[in-house]
Amino acid sequence: MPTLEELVDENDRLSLQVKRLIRAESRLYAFQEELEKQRSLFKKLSVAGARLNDQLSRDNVLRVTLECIVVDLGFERAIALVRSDHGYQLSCHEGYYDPDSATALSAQPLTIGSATTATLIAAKEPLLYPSPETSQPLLLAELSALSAQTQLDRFFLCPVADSMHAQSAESAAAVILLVGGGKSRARFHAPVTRDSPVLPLLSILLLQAVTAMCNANLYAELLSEKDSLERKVVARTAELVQTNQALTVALEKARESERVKMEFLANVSHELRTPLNSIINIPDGLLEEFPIVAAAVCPSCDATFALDQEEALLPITSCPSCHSKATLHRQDLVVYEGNPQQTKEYLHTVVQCGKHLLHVVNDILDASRLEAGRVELQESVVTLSEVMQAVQQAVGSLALARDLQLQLPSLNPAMTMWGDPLRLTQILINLIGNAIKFSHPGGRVMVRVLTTPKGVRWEVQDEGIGIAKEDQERIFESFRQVEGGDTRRYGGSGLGLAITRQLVELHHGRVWVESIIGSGSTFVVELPQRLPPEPLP
Amino acid sequence: MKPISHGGPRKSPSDPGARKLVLYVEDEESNRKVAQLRLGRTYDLLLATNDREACEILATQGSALYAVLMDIELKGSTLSGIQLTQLLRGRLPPDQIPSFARNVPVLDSLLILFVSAYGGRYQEDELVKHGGNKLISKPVNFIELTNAITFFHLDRARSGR
Repeated sequence: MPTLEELVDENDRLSLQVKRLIRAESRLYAFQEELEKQRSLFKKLSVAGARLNDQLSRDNVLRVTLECIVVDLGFERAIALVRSDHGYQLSCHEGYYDPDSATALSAQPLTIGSATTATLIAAKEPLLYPSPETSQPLLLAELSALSAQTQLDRFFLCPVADSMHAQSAESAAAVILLVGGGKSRARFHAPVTRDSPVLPLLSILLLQAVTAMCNANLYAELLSEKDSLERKVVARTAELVQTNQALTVALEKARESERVKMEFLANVSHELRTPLNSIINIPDGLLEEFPIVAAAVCPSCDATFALDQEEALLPITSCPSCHSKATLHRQDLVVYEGNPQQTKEYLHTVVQCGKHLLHVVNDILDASRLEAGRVELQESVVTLSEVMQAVQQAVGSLALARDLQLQLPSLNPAMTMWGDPLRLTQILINLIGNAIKFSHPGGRVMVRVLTTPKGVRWEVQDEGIGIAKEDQERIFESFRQVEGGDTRRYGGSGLGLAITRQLVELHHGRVWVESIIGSGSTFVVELPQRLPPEPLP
Repeated sequence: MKPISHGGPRKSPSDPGARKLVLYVEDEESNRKVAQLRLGRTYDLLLATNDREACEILATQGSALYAVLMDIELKGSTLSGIQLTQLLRGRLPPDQIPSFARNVPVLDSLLILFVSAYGGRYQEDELVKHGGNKLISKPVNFIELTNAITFFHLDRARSGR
């Protein structure tokens, strides 16, 4: 039988064991609870990882990371600071995951000093404040300022690289998360200490954040690449469209100039071939009036006698004219069998056509020399009354032939100007010649010479067919002529007015036309009064 | 044996009864003169300076014509040589026929030769489509021209038309 003392001892021992067991059990429960908590944290972390992977922008990656740090890991606040373009200056990016004070905080940019940045870059891992690592005075000053600004009295500074290839320290610290706890929060929060149990989880989360950040950056690059490609395509397309339009315009111009050239060639062809028709065919026809006949010629008196076909010429035949006994001899002679009146008229036509041909050729040469800028004025003091005389001589008969009344002004011989007398005459002859050509028979062509304050003004007025408004500028272009509604075509190379305008412009003047269809045109030339150049000393 | 006299009367055309009427529509005086000189001894040349004169001659003597020489662009005319040709072939739209051209008969087998100084502006095949037979360019080669007229009539006689 055990003694009472023994029983008491046994009881004590047993109760001690029970106590130990109870303690062990409670420790076991606590451990189990801790395990459960860890398990749930890992589960949350893996969910967070999956969410992070889905984010395509840096902003969203940061937002999700901050949310996880606060909601899942239990830290009081988390703030993201993103490096901006201005070197190491860091500014508040996302505020922190606390709706109440987020607004207040994001209103003012947070800055992280250069000492902090340098330390972070060197550490490349969460830096705890306050801690022995942050005791360096400059660093301490910067971090306590940050602490005051964020109302966090303890925090981790976590550098977050945003590129996988980031070898350089700067890019490693592209984003900094400020993770910490405040003074005044009653709620339970994860402790901000070196041995905080969630610190490893925070590290895992940060790794996941870096990966997601890199992906987001790549995606952003991809997008911007795609954007720039699209912009390039748009720009190139626009360039192509523009080039295309320019080409179309150029082609149209080339075609138009080709068309004008062909028109011109056809007109020139007509102007050259028409006189040539007479110049070649009239003499050819007239030659038929000069047949060759058989004749007998007397060597002493040169008399000629027609011989009939086969008529024999006997050596004893004396000359019927001088009765010389000298021997007549046989010779083929050219005789004229035409009508002298008619022949003369024909020859006159040939001369006229030759002159006209020369005129056309001169016009073509003049126009091309003017076009090439190879015409120089032979300037002197010009007496306008003399010019008018030359004009009268040149076009007077032309007007008469068309039964037109040509009214030229009688000018004061003192009226002079500076210019090229031949070219000035040519200008007037061209304009008056045109007026005559486009007038109806019996009409009037009036020329006026006026002195104006600026110089001299010539007007050549006709009562002819007139020129439509839309043609009034074009007629001064080379190779143009008014195209009538009928088959009417007027002689000339189509160069006269182009030559006229260029000659007027060489004299620093202007020429234009005022016209009403059907009732006539007035060509106006304005020439400035110019002085002869100072003689060289 | 008699003295040679210059400027004597020209030989009158042989066989006046067989003279052939040829109409030449031409606005340029020098061209009409040339034709008179070069063709006057072979044909009886009728000259028209514009569409109106041409229509007058065509209305009265059209069926008696041996050939028509047609300038294309006619100064002071409403109808061009091409339109006059279309008129003669009965192909001119009625709204283009002026009153003075109403009496012009349709003459399908009349020889119409275009005579033009516009190098390249008119193509012979185009002109043939409008009803002409041939294009002669200026300066006129009168041997080519008279040959064209002669051969046309020879061909027609041979084919029995």
